[in-house]
Amino acid sequence: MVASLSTYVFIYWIATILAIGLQFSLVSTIGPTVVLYFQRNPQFRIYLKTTIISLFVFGLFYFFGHKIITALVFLANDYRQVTIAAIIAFFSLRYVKRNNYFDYLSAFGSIILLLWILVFLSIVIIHISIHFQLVNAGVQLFKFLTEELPGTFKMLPYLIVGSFGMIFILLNIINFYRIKKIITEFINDKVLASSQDSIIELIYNENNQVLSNQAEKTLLLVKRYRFSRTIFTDELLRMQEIIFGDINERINNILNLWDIDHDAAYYLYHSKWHYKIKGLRIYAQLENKSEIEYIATLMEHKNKVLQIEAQIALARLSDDEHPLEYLKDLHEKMTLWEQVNLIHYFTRFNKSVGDISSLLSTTNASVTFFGLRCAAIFNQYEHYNQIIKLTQYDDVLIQDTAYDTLAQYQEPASAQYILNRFKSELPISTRVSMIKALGHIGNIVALPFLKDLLLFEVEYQLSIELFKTIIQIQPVKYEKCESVGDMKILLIAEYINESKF
Amino acid sequence: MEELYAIFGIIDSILFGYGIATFISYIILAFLSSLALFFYIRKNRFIDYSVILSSDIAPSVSVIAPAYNEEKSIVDNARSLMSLQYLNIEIIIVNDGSKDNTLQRLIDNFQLKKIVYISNYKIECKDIRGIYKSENKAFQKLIVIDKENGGKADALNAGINISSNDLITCIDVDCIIEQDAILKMVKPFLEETDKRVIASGGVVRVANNCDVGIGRINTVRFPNKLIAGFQVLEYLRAFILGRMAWSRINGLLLISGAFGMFRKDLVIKVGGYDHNTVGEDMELVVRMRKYMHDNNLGKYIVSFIPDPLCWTEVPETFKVLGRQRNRWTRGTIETLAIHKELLFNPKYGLLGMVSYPYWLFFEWLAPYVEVFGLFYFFVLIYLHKVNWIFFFSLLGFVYTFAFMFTLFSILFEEVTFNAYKRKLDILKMIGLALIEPLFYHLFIMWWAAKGNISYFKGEKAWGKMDRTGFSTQQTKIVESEITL
Repeated sequence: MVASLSTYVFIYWIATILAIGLQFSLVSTIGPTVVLYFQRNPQFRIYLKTTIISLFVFGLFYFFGHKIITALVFLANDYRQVTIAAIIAFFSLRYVKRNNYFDYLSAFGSIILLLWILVFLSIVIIHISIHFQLVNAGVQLFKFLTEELPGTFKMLPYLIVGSFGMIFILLNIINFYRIKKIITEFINDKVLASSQDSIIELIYNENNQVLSNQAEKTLLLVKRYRFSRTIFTDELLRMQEIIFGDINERINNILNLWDIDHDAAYYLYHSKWHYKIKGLRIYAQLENKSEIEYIATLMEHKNKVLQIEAQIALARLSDDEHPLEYLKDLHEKMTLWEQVNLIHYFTRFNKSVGDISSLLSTTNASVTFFGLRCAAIFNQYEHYNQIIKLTQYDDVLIQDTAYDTLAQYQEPASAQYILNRFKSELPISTRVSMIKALGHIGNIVALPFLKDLLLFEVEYQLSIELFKTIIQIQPVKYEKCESVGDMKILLIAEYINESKF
Repeated sequence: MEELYAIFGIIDSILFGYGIATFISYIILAFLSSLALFFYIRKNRFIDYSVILSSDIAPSVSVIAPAYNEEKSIVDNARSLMSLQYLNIEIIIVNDGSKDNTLQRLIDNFQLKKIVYISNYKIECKDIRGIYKSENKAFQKLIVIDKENGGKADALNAGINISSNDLITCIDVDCIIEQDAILKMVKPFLEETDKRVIASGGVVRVANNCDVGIGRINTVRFPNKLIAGFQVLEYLRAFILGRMAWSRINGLLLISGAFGMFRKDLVIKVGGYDHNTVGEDMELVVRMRKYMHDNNLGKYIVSFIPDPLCWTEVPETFKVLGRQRNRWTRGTIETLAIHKELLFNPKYGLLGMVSYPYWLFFEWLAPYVEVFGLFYFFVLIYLHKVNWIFFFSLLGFVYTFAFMFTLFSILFEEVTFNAYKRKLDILKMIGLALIEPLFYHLFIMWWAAKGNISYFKGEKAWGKMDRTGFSTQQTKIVESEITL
């Protein structure tokens, strides 16, 4: 059978197998091995082992390729042996899986396994190709088509070959992505697992007791290699999101011990935005203010994600009395997403928003809006006069939000101010906000006015709000509202009372 | 006879040109979606959605779920909806005149009490028989509307009338929604700057054969039925390659009825869902977009979230699938017919010049061209005028291209969301992609052609959708847990 191999088919398949194998080997193992070696990372040994095994396999192919192919073709010929081999392989894999040996095997085992699958499939394809003379036929067919097809349609065979090529590339990428993921997870897990105990000891070191030798060793080892530092920094930053208090301080100490600020500078000045974010997060976490001016420039960066990260970093790094002061210089519209993130930061870390008067007087309406939100959420009563002024702002949204903020303040004096400002010419949203504010303030002074308004109001939404507000100020049972003599209001009353479960 | 051959020559050129245009459009879509996905995934690595969870400045959301004869699963579905992660949310289940015990099951399980509720009915809908709320504080998010039967669009309109929040999310009650789905869908609305976000769509994935807990997917598995498997590939192509690409250029016309979020004030202004079409989801989006142009309301965005947020059970029999595709085709034609003034109308920008023509020529016209092509092919065989070399070359190219295109969607799924973790599932997908163009596609084309016939015959029926339901799988899971 082998003797009947035409030379080009044989060379073609050997070259294909080697090309596929070398592609995986180079990309998956040799490249990272070299990089890790120059980073002086101990994990490079894992890659080195993989590389050696891969190269050994390819070495076998290189030197004994002809004999191996011959043997495999014979093997593929004998279907009984193939079946037995497949059954043995299946049960072996099950055994390995059941005993969780995959943890160790998956990283480089996957590459070898995949390689052998490819080799085996190639052999089967060779066998079929030889038997049916497929390759020869394919080449002949291609030549025939290019000769026979008219005019521009001669491109069709090329398009078919192109599509085949693309399919081959796509299948390879799918496989490669899977392997890359396995290896990355494996190495991350191994690095973390090998030093986990020591890091826990460092973090939970009660009363700063003397560290064990192992913990000290780990600390130095991680400090030495950027690869390990990156893994641990990511992990510790993630931990800080959920941990508060002393432990948070200890994490900072560890990061400082690793001279992580050098890494932070590298990330911050990197040309790619996602590296910059990492840098920002480290600077913010360490409360290192040395790059605060550069960080301020990132607030206007074209990338929105980076903008938000820069804002949070600035809020964390700014003076405690004015953490949001930088916003007064913001020219772009502040999105709700940015506002949500900043408010989340102050709420979660229980930090003060400080003096926000500059936000309430800026020309950027979105910043003023945010200032009003902060005033309401963080009970900034001292800005009462500024908020009263903002009820006459040009922007309706700001006016409405100013009334909403007054509602939160519940200052009795503001009820009279709202009553004086109430006009039917105002937009409906503003009037709703004013009525709601009156309800929150709960000043009985407003009641006669509200009741009069309710009698003549035709707008559905306003009627509802008016009635809710009246009940809020002076709770009544709906039966008593009959005196109003209006069926619509009766229904509203009934609704409000009954839906209050 | 020579004149006939000249006509054949013209037909050849038209069909070939159409095919080439289709391939080019597919290549462009693949390119655009790869760009959009790349940026989304990279950006998303740094997003913490939990910040929205605790925010009271984020917009309020009403989830509206119409239910018709869903007594078997309604309680689990309602519980699942109530466990959605969002602070300011109300869940509105609309019992659309069910003939079974859907309403009673809800009343019994959630201690519901009929309340007096007035609404000024901004959108037309059938009579509401009653509104129910729970006396139990634990279920205070839940509102149940009991109304006369009027179809899905009518039920959604009733829900919109009763809803009191800024955004509405319309879903199919039998879908499984990811817990963080609302957080992800709301985000585009939070990010809006000078462009107003009017709607946001999410990806729908196939839940057949997945391990389903109470209202959530425990393990994603590839369907074990062939037809459902083919639909996985179809959904991947449609959502990951198609809609992602359209959203990249802001030309999205369709947000799936199974899961979409809309700005309520705009939905009310355009008059809500159209009762007279079976493609109410697409029609609403087109009408909202058209309204924005007609009233010069400035720039706007129809956003799309590529994360797998909604899981649905797809038909597993040819009969049911045929009905569904018939309805989809009718819905598309109805929408295109209602808004025919959009075609190549520069006033509507991208909507009139690209999105609408694409749907017309490549979605609606495709089955016509394919059926005509087949018919024409048989005529040529009869006349011995088939150039077999050309035929097989073209067939080879179309087949390899179709396979390659599906591989692209599998690759994107693999490198982005990687929902199918098992290698075997990926192999199954690749295997099915090999046979899909030769087998499944013919049925799809046939059903689309039948949909056209049904449309022109004036058929309006929704078509019965038999579902296996997730409940049997749930029972299975519970039993296995007890055994262990």
